[in-house]
Amino acid sequence: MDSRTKATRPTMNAMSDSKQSEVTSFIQTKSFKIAEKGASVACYHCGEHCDDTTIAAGDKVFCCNGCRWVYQLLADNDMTDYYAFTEEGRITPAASKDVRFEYLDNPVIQEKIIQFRQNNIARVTLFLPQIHCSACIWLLENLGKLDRGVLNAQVNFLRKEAAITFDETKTSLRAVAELLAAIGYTPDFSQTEAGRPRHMVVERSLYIKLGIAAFCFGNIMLIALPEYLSGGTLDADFRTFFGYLSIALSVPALYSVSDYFKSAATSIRQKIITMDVPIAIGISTLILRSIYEIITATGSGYLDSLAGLAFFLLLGKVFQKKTFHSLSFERDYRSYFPIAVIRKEGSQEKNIPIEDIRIGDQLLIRHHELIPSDSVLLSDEALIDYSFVTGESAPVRVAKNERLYAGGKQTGGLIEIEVVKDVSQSYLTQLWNQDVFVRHSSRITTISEKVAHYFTLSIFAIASFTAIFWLIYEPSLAANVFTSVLIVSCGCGLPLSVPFTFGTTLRVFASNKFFLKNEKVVERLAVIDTIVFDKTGTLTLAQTGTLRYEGASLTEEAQSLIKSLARQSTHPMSRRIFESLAEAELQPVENFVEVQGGGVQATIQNKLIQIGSYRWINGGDGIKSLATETGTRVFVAIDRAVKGWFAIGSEYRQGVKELAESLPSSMKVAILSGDNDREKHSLQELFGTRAEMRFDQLPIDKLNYVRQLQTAGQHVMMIGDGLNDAGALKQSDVGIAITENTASFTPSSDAIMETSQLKTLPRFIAFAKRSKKIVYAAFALTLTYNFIALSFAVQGLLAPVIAAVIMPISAISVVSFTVLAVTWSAKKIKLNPMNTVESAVINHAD
Amino acid sequence: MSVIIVLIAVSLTVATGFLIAFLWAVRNGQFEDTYAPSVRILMDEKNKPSSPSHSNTEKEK
Repeated sequence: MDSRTKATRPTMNAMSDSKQSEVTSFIQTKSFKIAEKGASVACYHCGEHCDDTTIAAGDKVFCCNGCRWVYQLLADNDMTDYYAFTEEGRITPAASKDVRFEYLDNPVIQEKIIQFRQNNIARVTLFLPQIHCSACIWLLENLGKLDRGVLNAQVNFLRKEAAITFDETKTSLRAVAELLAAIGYTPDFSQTEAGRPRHMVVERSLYIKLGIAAFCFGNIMLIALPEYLSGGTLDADFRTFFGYLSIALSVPALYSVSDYFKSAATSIRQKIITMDVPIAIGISTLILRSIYEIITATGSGYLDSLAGLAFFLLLGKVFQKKTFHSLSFERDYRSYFPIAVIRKEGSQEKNIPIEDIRIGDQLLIRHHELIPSDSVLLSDEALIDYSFVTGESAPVRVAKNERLYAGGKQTGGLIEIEVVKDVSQSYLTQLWNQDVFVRHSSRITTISEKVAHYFTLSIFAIASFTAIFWLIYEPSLAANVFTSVLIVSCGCGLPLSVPFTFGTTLRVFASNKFFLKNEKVVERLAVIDTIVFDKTGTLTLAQTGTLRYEGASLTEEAQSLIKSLARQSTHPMSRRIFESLAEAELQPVENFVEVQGGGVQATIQNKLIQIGSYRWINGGDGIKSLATETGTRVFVAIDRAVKGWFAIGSEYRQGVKELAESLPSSMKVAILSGDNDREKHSLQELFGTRAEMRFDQLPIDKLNYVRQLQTAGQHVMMIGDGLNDAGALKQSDVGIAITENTASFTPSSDAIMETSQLKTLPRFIAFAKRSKKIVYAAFALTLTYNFIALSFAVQGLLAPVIAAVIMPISAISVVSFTVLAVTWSAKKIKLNPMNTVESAVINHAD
Repeated sequence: MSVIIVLIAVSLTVATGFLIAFLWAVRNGQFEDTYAPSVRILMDEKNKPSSPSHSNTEKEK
């Protein structure tokens, strides 16, 4: 028997019924097979292939102590069922060990996070971006077994949230957070603040309205049928009864479309005609005329059409509003910053919320923590990674009393800083004080805005013209015709075209790992003529630039010497060199010296080895030509003879080449970089001469560059990844944040794209263009229906039954036309066709 | 004639019942997460005191 099944079996002694045990054993055999397939040494916990550093415990092998610890914890609590669950990889807990949660003991911060608290029972909803599989749900919902203070835990998978209720006398918020982090689910506190729950309320009210409209539609239609089928011979008593009943039933239907009246009123006040205006006019005419007809017993009214209209309109709204629960498009710098920092107060250290930072405060910043506001360094030395701000990946060394900028990340030991500027006034955060962040209205008018304008005007023209015509020839018909035209015109085909076309387009994009904020982005995407790329992190990989070596080839002995020396130093470059020479042997080192701003040297095997700057090593013939360029290069010398140099070169993302080749020649391309221009040459090779390149760009420069292009009449798409692109992303017509993993942070943007899809970008744009054409085709289709209905209306022949037939037919045909056409166009352009949004969101986490 | 009116009253009552059920479900968050419950139903509840302890797995041993 495989060790895996052996481990799980003793714990399965209490199956609640036999059916369940069948299911569980099915899951078990499945994971057993997979375990056999990956025959080499895989970590028992996370399933990753272990390096040579394995940790054995009993008959299990683990890749790291973190994994072993989690296994031990689960085993101790009789929870090894967890290993029977997963088919996908489990989370390696080691990744999150740097996060500290002392600040959660501060009552002020607790107050912000805890949603509900009574008699020492507290409830929190935590965002856990690592949630990705069914085993995650199982483990998190059994949290109470690992911490007896946790009373209940419930996972919302789509939102990647866990609602946890705990007893504050037995555990604390901090203890829960630390336990979650230890088992691999580090809670993300930056986003649990305002904004997220409100979203949900809006969505719920829409579903409620849809339900009400469906109820009214069904019932009014039912009681309208006798009238239609009897051919006008219906008993008068019945007619009155049905009439008043349908008036009563249309009251909730009116409530369900109340939003259309509100937005029509706002748009009229702003003197813009949106699609809501003809809808509101149509609905009012419908209801008034129907009530008049029923009360005067002159007809049966059009209330069934009214309810149907309400139902289809709301259906369109729901279809288009589909949101991606676990993604956020509205993040600003606050999402990146910690929610608390440590302030030094005399000899004490106190956790304070970030808003309470005042100028003059002395803060402690630990390894891998962000500097929250512009400060001065009080410690002797700091190594700051500014990749968030500038995109430059190499850490910067800062000396005592020098300035530190907000957004930098300390790498190395603990440092002490003194705040010189408020958080919101810092160099980086000032970007958010720009007016683009306050008010943003797109300069591109949407199709429906344009069409609504002409449509409404022409409907009024037709209505008035025919009314005047009938006033002359047959005055009794004029009111009838006027209202009929208005009723028919708001027929729902037209307002449905946009939601269903772009709603389907959104879903196709989502199944291709390209997530758009809303349907308006599709329209803007279709008119893009300029693409601006950020370089670092977008075209190149941000953190893991490859280490290159150039120069004389290194013998096995030389490699071993270099590795032995590099091991002595903690400088990041030395670490990289050490890691790159995995094969070489280590040797004892003598006379090790580290020279500030120079390099390191030591004697190994009676040879002097030096690694450091060219000037420091000072010399070596025949290699001078290489030294013409500065940058992050370290030279290697053995017995004063320079062998060559190591450099960290940016590695281009996969697909950048295909992207550069497949961009249509009409598209203007620009590349912005916060970095220096050492890679200009290789970028030009990729993108050719048409790409405009700018280097050493500050975040504000990027924003201004995009604005400048827009002033010149270009429709700009900006693609970036970091906080430093946030301004440009916001300013651009379509701002796309690119990310390795959609669970991680992205700056506020119109769309989020997975890096693997970079090469598909030209196809995405082409697809958006096609979708826009489909909207026009759908408009043409609905206008045909309108034309037929109008031909009845202008003659005064619009019987309720005709309205009741044409309305659903036009709605259904428009919906099926748009959905099918968009799906077909996706296939034609070789994108994955639509699948359900939920599964797309679930799959992208894997 | 009155039969039809009674029937319509009955049918509307039933329909209203369904509408209320739907509204309750939305407000109560029944549609919030459509994935987790499908997994949750397959999970063992062995540590809950109420669930009867079967001996299926004992036999396997």
